[in-house]
Amino acid sequence: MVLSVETKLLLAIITEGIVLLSVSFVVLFLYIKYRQRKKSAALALAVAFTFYNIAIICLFTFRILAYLQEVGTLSDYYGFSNIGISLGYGFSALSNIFIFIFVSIIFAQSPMFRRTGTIAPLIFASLNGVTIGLLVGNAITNWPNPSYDLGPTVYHLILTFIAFISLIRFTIPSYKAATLKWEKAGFQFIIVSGTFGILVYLSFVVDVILGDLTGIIENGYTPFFFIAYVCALIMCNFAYLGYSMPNAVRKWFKE
Amino acid sequence: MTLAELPNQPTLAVTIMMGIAFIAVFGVVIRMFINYSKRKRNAALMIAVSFTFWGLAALITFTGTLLQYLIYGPDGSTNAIGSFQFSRYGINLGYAFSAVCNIFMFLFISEIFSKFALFRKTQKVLPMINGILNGVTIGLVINAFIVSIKTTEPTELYNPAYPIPQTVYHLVLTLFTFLMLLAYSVKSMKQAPLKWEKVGFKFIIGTAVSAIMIYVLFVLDLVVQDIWIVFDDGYTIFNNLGWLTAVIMVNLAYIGFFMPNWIRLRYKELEVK
Repeated sequence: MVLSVETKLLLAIITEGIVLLSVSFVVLFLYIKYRQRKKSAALALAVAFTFYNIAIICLFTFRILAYLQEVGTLSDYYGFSNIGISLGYGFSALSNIFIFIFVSIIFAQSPMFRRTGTIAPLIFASLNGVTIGLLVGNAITNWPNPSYDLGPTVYHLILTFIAFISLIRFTIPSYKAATLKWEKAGFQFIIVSGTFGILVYLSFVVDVILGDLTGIIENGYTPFFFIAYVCALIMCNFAYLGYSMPNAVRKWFKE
Repeated sequence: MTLAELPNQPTLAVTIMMGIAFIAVFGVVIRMFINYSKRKRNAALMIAVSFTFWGLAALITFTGTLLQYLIYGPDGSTNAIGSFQFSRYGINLGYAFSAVCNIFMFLFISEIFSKFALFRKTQKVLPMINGILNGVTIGLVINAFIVSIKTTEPTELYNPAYPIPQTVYHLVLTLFTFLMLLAYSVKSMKQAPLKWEKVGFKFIIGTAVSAIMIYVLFVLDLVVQDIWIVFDDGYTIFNNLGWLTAVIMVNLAYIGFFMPNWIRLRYKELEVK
């Protein structure tokens, strides 16, 4: 059974709405944790997920507008779907920067960050600035219907992979060195979070390949689109559990 | 607003001037790296890397201009719509490298003036934001290249746009960086107790003023073509002056930050007297 574009858009709106709510709660908890501990790493993580949340808000809002366009309430003048995706990628690029800053703070004692200081996060920030420049340039050139080019998308994906792979890469030695069970569990949660962070974007890539590029699944919005959002949910929650581990979870592991 | 028409054909004078500028900049950059290898100070590395990228900007602009001059002839008679406009690629890439120069220049500023409240309180947040904003410039330049290769518009094919907003955006960031250098150098100069230290900061102030002047001259180069009929061929005297100022800038930076011993000793002697 092939679902209509309208139905798929509606399902996408519902999924994005649920994820938006959940991520908002995680962000709120992260800020509460930051207020209690006043650690810069906690702030970096909270800001990273704030930008991630704003990216989802953009996608959600423009998806609603795209739905209204599809049902004929709004005119076709603006390419709402692509505007939303461009904004989403822009904010996701900002999120990447803060994920990397978070990594550079919590693993500041590792040889790489000890030797290079702030150079690595600065270069990474500039590279993500390039993503934003590409998106802005594309939006200006093709306004009111910015294109969804493969080049900038792949570039953004590579940077995202670097951010999450570095998170996993630096967490593994700490996980191995940890002696207490709850500490080990915390690092494990961060590794799971990083893995699902990668899976989010991999799922989006598979969605684009199966839907838009090859047309294997008609009307786009393949199951991988929805899987990506499930992965996003898992990523945010595990990042919260891993870094800000609530007392109940900590006690459970201590016992 | 974009300049999609064919670029102006460069003159021999401007091509030579760009060549002199990039050689002079690299000459100073090499001395900066030699000095860094002796003192191993972070700030020294930052300023050396920053001017390396400025040198690369000059080199790539020079290469584009030279190719445009050699391939399409002194009068540009063999140039045509749809041909590869080397000078446009050179200028755009020049802006991209200049953006990287800005990133490291700001990092240099945050290092040498790290004791001032602004940098002490914000740590490396400002260089990070500056890095993102200059990254945007590079993204805009790459986008212009992508458009110039993919377009079906004959005037834009292989002729990357040189949009005014993008140029202004880069200029604002550059002015911001060098105005920061200027402002904090003035502050530090007032606080410096020794004469040779004061002189060092004066040279750095000279660097910032020259850097700002370079871009003012480049803007004048564009503006006078529109308002003054004498300059309707492009590449005015202001362009040559801009490159000459670049040579002055990088030398002042070297003297100000790495101050050769004979200059330092001279000022120390004056102080004793």
